[in-house]
Amino acid sequence: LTEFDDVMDFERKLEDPDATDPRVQTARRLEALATSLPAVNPALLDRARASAAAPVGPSWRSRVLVAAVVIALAAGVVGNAARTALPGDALWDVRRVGQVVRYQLTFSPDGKADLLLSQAEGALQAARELAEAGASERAVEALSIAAERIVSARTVGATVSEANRARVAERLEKAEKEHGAIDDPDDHDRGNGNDNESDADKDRGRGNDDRTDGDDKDKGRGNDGDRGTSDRDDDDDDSDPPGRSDTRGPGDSGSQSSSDADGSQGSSQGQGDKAKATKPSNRDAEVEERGSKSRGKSEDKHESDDD
Amino acid sequence: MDIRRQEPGNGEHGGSANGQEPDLVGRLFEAHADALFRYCLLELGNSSDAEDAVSETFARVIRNPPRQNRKLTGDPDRAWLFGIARNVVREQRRYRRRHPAHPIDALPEPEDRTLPEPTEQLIAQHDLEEIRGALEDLRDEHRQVLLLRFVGGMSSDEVGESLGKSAGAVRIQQMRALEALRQQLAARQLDEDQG
Repeated sequence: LTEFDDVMDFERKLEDPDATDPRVQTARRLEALATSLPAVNPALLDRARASAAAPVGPSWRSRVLVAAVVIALAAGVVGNAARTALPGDALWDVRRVGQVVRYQLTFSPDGKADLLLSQAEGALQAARELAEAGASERAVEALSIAAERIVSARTVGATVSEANRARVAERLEKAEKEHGAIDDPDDHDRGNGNDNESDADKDRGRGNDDRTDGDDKDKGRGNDGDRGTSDRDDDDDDSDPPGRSDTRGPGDSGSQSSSDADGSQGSSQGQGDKAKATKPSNRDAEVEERGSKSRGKSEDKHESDDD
Repeated sequence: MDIRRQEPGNGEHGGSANGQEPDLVGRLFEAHADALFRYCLLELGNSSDAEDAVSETFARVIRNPPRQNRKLTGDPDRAWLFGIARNVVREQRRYRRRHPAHPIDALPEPEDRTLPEPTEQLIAQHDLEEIRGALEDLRDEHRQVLLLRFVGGMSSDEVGESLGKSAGAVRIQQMRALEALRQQLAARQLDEDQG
């Protein structure tokens, strides 16, 4: 109320030509200065007309808007095209980035598990298509990504809600089976159609391992961290992507021998390993080599097989 | 007379004023250009920038003429024009901040001056620089209220309409702004006396 009174009182003073309030005098001084300033140049009106008649470019707002729309459209087009990109395609990296972004933007464990499984299924589909097209390296890359997604989904799957747990587990199992099937279709067929034979092969493989175990494993641990740790990873850590070592191809004998040892661990985990144990030609050749050659030489041969 | 309801004149943007009755823009120019120029001069500090601002203000009026269904008294015209001018001035000030190496000529050329005597001219020059310096040190909203109210000659209601505030708020700010300006001028005077 006091300030209101002050304001009204000050308004009255402003109207009073004899007011001595210093603020009013300041206002008078400002008014006097304004009236002493020169008048406007009348030619400015013609200048304004000429300026208004001149073509005006788009404002910065419309430019920013257009740029934003163009960028959004381009991002949409590229993103849409990248959704079907396969390993080795120009947009493959864009697709992977999109997958990471989508994962980061998914917050619930159920959503994360579903997303990872969808990505794994997409990668498996890509691997299948690439394998059918004969692009084996690209298929292996897709398979590796599928394995990573499956492993991650398995980890996340442990935290999903009770209602979705069975469904996620079912999808997970299906993806793992599909991974094994794509990874080595011959083994998969054999595993599905003739379990006894597979078991026999597994036993055979185990026997081979027993025969060479002391020599090979010692050498592996001492000399070759790659093969040695690959074996131990399969044993110790479930988070290792399934089939990661398997994706090296049938010539990867080091993985095979170690996987044989794991073959009895479980149906899903050991499926690829079991399948590997049923490669007679490679297996026999490997055993022969192990018996007669050193580890390093053997590896050289298998790597060349891979190539 | 309802100047907003006039049809556009003979010219492309409201007609030319050559030998004819002034059109809409011409009338607005006649009525408000002086006050706008002084406002711009005190805001920008030099006549060439002030002229540019006035010219740009009316160019915008020509490009975007006022809506015909607006209230058509003189006061809303003034508030509307000063609103445009304020935007133009703000853009120019922003431009000057980004391009600081801008020549400053505090007052117009002698032929533009209305001050008859050199002594008065010097006094006006000194007063202008002093008050402009003090205004520059005020808060932006205080400076706006003072310039619109006492240089633009607008009422508190018009200032409120132009700034989007109530007339009461404008009156309070005007009182505070005058006190702030008085203190600034006193401090400057003190510095001048001591220096």
